[in-house]
Amino acid sequence: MTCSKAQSLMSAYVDGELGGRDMLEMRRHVCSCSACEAEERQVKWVKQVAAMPVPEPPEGFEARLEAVCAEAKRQKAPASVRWIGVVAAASAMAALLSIVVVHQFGGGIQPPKPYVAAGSGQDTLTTPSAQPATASSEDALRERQYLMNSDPLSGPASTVAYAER
Amino acid sequence: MKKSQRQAFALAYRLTGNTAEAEDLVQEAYVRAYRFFHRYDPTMPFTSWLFRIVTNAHIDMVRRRGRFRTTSIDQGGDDGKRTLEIEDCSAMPETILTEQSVNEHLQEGLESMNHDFRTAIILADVEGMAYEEIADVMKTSIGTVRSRIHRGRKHLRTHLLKQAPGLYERYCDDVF
Repeated sequence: MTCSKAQSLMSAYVDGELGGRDMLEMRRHVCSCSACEAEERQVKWVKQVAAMPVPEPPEGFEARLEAVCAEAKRQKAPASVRWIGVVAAASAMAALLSIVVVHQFGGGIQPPKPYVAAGSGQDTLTTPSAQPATASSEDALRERQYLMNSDPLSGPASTVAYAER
Repeated sequence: MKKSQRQAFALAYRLTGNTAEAEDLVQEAYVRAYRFFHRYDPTMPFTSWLFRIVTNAHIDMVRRRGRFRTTSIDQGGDDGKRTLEIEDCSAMPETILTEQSVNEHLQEGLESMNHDFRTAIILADVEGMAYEEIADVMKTSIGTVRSRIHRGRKHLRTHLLKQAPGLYERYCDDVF
């Protein structure tokens, strides 16, 4: 091990953060090199000074902190989260109201029809390889690609599979 | 709880340099911890998460007050060779190295460093954390932590040797 490498590893060595082999090589080098031994001493000194105890917290620190924490507990949810809650509740109420109105005046709720691409007779979420595109169904292919790009469940992988064809 | 409060205070003290600001910082960090506890990842030790909040809150605090008394270690002059100017007190051997003066020199040395270097050194030496834990707190790699601690200590050593040369001699007398 060279002195330059040893000195670059000295802090990690002093902190016991080197792996077994590096640690052994460092120990051997430091024992046989006075310059690196002096470096080790200085790094240990800096570490010791940096670790000197900090002053005690001011009197009443813990009580004041607990009071602040109690207040934070009371107002736990941040404003943005509270607003999201209000908006979600309002949306749920609106949805419930619209269901009631449709039931009363619109003749019941129809289940949503699954998307069937024109000309293919297949669902968009099926694997693209199961539905070969023909030259006569270009419009259907474009429509399907558009839907796949905008559907978060399809993702780019399916789109690439189509593009490769 | 009390232990983590004390640990947070020690970190905050070394980041801010005084007890009043350290207390403000710890309070701010705990308020954030309560508000955003839903974001806490239980795979991470609570103190590591708290320390991350303390360091982030400190950056925000300094930005708000428009005061950053730090100089990047990487910063160079036009020729890329500029070094930090540190007053040489070696001509004053009569300086009595009380614990308070050592603390002041240490604090000055830490404050003359970039925030990331300072945080890495405080977490390693004041909090006694392993490099892996420091990497978690600072959201960086162990290699970066190792480099920050190595370079930060080098900078701190230069500062202390110039400001308080007698301190090293005393240490050598004590140890050897």
